[in-house]
Amino acid sequence: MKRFHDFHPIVTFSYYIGALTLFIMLLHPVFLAAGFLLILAIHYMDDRCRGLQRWFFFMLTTGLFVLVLNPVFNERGMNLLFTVGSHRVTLEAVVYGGMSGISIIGIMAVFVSYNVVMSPNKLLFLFAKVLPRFAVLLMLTLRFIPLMRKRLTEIGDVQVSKGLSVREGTLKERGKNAMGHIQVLLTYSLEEALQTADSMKARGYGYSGRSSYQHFVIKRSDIAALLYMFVLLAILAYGRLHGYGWLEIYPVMEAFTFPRKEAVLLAAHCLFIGFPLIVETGEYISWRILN
Amino acid sequence: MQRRSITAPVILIFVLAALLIASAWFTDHYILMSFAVLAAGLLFMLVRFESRKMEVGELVIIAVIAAIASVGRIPFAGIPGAQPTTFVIIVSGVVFGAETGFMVGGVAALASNMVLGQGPWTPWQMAVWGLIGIISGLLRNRRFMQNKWGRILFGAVCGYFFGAIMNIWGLYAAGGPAGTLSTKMVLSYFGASLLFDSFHAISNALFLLVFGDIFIKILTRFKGKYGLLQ
Amino acid sequence: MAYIELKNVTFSYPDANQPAVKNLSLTVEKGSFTLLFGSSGSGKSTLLRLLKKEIEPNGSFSGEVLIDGEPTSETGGGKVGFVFQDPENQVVADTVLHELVFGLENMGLKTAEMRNRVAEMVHFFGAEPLLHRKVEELSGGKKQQMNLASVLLMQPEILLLDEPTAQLDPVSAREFTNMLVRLNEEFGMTIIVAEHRLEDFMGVAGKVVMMERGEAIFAGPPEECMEALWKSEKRAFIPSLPAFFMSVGGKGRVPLNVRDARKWFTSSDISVTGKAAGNKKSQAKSQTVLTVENVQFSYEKEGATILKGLDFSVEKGSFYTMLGGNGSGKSTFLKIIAGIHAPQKGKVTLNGTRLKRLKREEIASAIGYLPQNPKLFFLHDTVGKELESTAEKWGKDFEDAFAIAKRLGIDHLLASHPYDVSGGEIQKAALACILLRSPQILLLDEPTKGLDAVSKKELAKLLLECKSEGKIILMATHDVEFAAKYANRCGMMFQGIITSESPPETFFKGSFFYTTMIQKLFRQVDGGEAVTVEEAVRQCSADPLQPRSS
Repeated sequence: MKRFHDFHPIVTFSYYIGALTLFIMLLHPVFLAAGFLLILAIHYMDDRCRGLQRWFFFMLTTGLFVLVLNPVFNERGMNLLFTVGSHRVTLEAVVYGGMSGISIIGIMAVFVSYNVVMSPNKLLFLFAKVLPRFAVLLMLTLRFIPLMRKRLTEIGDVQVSKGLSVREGTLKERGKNAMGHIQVLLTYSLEEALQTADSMKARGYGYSGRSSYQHFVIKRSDIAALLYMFVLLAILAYGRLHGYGWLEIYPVMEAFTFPRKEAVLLAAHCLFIGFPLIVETGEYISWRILN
Repeated sequence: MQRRSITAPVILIFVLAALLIASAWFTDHYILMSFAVLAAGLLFMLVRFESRKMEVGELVIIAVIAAIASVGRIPFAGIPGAQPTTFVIIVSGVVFGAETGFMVGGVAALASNMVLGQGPWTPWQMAVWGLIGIISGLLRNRRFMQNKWGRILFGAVCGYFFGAIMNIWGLYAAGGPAGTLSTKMVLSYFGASLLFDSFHAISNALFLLVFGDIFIKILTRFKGKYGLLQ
Repeated sequence: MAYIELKNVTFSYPDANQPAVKNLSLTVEKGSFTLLFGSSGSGKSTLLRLLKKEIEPNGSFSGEVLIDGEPTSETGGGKVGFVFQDPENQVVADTVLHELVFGLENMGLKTAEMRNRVAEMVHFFGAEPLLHRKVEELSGGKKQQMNLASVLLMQPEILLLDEPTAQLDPVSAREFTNMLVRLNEEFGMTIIVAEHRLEDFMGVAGKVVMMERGEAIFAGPPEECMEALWKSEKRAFIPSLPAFFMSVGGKGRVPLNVRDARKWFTSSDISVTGKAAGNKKSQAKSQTVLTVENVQFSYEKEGATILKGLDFSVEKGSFYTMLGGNGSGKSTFLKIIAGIHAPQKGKVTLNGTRLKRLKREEIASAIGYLPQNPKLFFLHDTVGKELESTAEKWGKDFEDAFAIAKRLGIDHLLASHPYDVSGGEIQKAALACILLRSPQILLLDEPTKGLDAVSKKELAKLLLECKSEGKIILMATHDVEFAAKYANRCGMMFQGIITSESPPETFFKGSFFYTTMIQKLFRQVDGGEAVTVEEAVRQCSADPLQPRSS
């Protein structure tokens, strides 16, 4: 997914925000299923679903948990499927649980893709535009995290050589030693960071207007992409406000029909979520034609 | 400077009022509304953070503590349920005040998720750790927070508070946005997390009991070293 | 007219009872290269900071600091760039490019301008491939070069450096020094550097300033400084080549590098007649305490193998130095012996018992490990408390602890925070805690890094004392001069095994790059086998009247 990665961060960020909103707002089995399949396709195209595999077990259990939770606790609904003892299992609860399950799995899948495409640098870049000081704070923190991890290892080594281990001894000793490590890390790092603060001051931080390096430039294609997404979202919002793209379950479950207007909305939904696929396919075709 | 620090709360009040009115209309979207309130709150704190006067040293301190808070669970790998993140945020709030406490909590959550991978839990973690930071800062001059046992009690409460807020997003995931949550479901959901939250509460209390004073002493010492004593 | 001028500057920190800088006057010419040296705490850092307004220390100040005729309080520090000691601490961003542009962003430059400057700078440093790398992945030397580049991008006219190579290995330090020389020679940059690594810097500085207790006790050309120091009690600061020159009463200009020294030596009438090896007798075989057999180790299961079938043994009363490049496995080796990591293959035996059969406490009572960074050693907020808790843990009296502190000369520091004392002192404090456990073996990782000449000498004295008590000293180091002078056995670590091992006299004689200045000087001299200054003097003063054999 090279082309999609190359969009300006504002484009990719908007796409993920939009996709998340759709998974939350359009609770309709067809919409959810279509959206979920498209996200899977995007993962397949990006890395043959390798990134998703790490989360597979977590997503599956969460999805199943949510699916089961509803019928177990929720007896509301008129369409009785069966009863277990005195517990009513209704169609409403099962459908509702299923939709919630797909919604949450879909949201996680969107996040997994987000983590691949939106590198910390891209998010920092977006923050630098609106919240410059927060962006510097976040940049510093992200720089410190690997440093702290390295220092914790060093501290662990030294303290073990003194006979203080976090892996041996009673729970109390281990807990005490572990917190001792955090204490050394805190004291040491705050001491060393005095130099970080000085190095920032010495390079003129905090004096006059700070600019930010444009790691990314908005191109015409970025504007086109933003417009494309905006139009689709507007259509979807309009449809949603008029009751489409949403299966009403309570108080009365609506009959499962699929009017034409809903089909239009579904098309818009797919065009939005499938945006990265469209971009990549377009890129692939133009390559083929050119070469 | 002066002007901006007044506009921010005014905007916040308007946004909150608008959200309250809106929530009267969209009663079945109360979770979305609470999400919007949360977003507005985070935004307000960020705007305040941007506009207030601040030493470079304070920025660096927040980054150091937030980074430690987010890697702090590594040495505790062999001890179930224990992580020092909440403890570190509480002591920072106590020493540096509400706003710094909030930033430590929020940034620790955001940055560690930027490293480990974002998920739907990110905003909730930011909010709950940020809130713990704020509350510790706001209460720091109260008599019971000046007292060691008061802080220990507070730490234990924070453990359950953390669990309660995180359950909200879990419930949202489970129950969906429409109003299908039954009291029974809420209770059993909270009951299920009770054991885990108790671990959290107990470890917070123990950390504050054994290490609270020394951490407060260390942070206070550096507050002076960085020239941040008002 | 002087470019930088300090007039009667006195500065005191708020709680100090003595001024950090005392009545100091100094001038620095435009485009010059000035070296500040002196023991830790002599006021070098404070002096440098007084020249950079943004990081001026708080305290009481009197006198005048003028840059280009204007007081710094009015002009600000825009003309002045500052590089700090620790390569790690100065970094604010997680990628190289972000780090480089940080200062430029603070200046409010436009992106196009930033790009131009970065492009030029990256070219100068030859660092294109590093631009998008994570800072974490860079070596210490590269990190320090990046810090320098980040400061240079802001186009300063004056460059101040506070012990910039103290944390680097000799190769990276030399590379960094050469970079500074280039900046000075090619671009006329005015450079003031505070350093302990005099061996490298004496030869490149046009002017040297020696500081002591806040005062500049010498300021002038390095050759004159050497002569002045020779006459004083501060001979420890003189690098080995000039020290040799003056020991044998050399005539003419004091040589500061091997080239000049050799020129002087060949034209002089000093002869090499005596034997280099003096009182260093080869010891009779004594009892082997520690053996390491065929040890293999890697940090991660799939990761690179650090130690590849290493064999090693050491006897009672040895002073063993392990030399070798970065990443050769020296530190890992020490950690294996200290029982911090368990080898995947092979065995470590201590007094006939496998190390892995011993309990954590048993290992710790027999083996003391001093880390490269002694700050990580301390859990308590005063040196005294740390000693007290060590005494408690190991069942010793506090009197024992106090006696050791007194012996190491740190008994006046018991109430101090370990981070508030000098590098030499914190090391001694950590050593005191280790010696309190009365271990048989002392492991030291790079103990001379960043130490001034006096502290190095004190460390050596202490280690030799421990050795004479029958303890084993095993240290990993880059410091060839230290190894040559004090060790009785040296080992070379390369790619995870020990490739050669011998007493220092023979060890260094065979090396070409990895050797002492004196050996480099004597390499092409017939019969010249000296490695240290003492040996060289002994060789040459045996019979100075006899003509040279060549």
